[in-house]
Amino acid sequence: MLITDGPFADTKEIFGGFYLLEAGNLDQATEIAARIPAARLGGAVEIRPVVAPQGQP
Amino acid sequence: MDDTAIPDERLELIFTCCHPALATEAQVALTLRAVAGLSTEEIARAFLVPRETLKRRLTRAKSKIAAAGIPFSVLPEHLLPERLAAVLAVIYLIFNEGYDRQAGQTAQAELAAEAIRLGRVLAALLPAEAEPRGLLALMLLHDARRQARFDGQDLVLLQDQDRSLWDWRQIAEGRAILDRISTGSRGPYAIQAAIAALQTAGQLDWSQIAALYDELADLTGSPVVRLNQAVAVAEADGPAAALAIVNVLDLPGYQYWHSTRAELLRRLGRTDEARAAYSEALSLARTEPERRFLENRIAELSPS
Repeated sequence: MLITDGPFADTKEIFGGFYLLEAGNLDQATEIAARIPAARLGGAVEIRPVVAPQGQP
Repeated sequence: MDDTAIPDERLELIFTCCHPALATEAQVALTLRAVAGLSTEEIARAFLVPRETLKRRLTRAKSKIAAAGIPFSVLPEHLLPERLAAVLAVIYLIFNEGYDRQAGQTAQAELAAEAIRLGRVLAALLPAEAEPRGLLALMLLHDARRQARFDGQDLVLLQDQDRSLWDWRQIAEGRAILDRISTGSRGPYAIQAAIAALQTAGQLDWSQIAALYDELADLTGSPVVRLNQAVAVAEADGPAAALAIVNVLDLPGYQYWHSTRAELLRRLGRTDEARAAYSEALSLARTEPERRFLENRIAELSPS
C-alpha cells in the first residue's frame, strides 16, 4: 500500500484535550507568528489573547 | 473488445488513467491531477513529498505515456480488478482532500461528496471485492461529522463536537456496510472503516482503536498509520508510551507529526519543546482553522 496522508481522525480531529493555560508571552508569540508564510509575504497574521471561560481551569 | 461496464464517466476516466505501464504512485498522482483536478501542491502533500519531487514524478509519467503511445480506449471489464488498488487510492485521496476542508465553504469540500459518489459506483460495479465497500464505509463515517467539525473558522475537536449535527443516517449506512464485510476479509480500507466506526461511539474504546491501528500498520508499513496509532496509545496508556512511538517515525515534512509530538510534549509538561513543535506544525499548516488552532496553542504555552 502507498504511504500517503489520509482522513485520519486521530491526528486531525481528536488530538487535543485543549485546555487553557496562562496567557503566553506576547512578544514570543509575535516572533513565532512572523515565521508564518502569510506574515513573510506581507499578509496579516493576527495574534489573539485567549480568554478563559468562567469555571475552566 | 468488450464494452466497458463502467456506468460513470468520471470513474471510467479514473480507471483508464491508472495505467499499469506506470508505477502505482505515478498512476495515482497523474489521475489526481488529470481527472480530479488536484493541484501539484495538494498531491505532493497527499504523498508526503516535496512539491518539486511530485512535479518531476508527473513529468516523467506524462513522458512515459507519450513515449509508449498508450491509447485512450475503452477498458475491457476483465482488466478492472488489476487496476483496483490504484483506483481506490485515487478515490481515497480525493476524499481526503475534501475531508481536510470545511463543508460548503470551498470547492475542495465538494470533493468529499464526489469521492463518496464514486465510491458508491465502484462498490456496485465490483460487488465481489470487499475493499471498495470498506472505503465507502470509511468515507461515509468520517463525512457524517462534516457539519460539526468547524465553528466558523475554528476547528472543533471530536470530543467537543455537537453530536446532534452528525449525520446519523449516514453513520448507520456506513456501519451497516462495514458489518457486511467479514472480519477475516478486511483489508486496509475496511480496517480504517472499523476505526472510524469506533470513533462514532459514545465512549471511545481507545485500546481497541490502538489494536486496529496496529493491525493496519502491520498490513501497510505506513508511518502515518503508526502516528495515528500513537494518538490512540496516548489516550489508552498515556503520553510517554505514545511519544516513544512518534519519535522513531521518519516524517519530518508532515504537519501532523509535529502537531502530534507537540501535543504529547504538552501533556508531559515539556513546554518549551511543545512550543517549538507547534511552531513547526504551524509553518506547515495550510487551512485557516488549523492555523488558528496551532496559533492558540503557541500563544498559550508560557515561556520557560
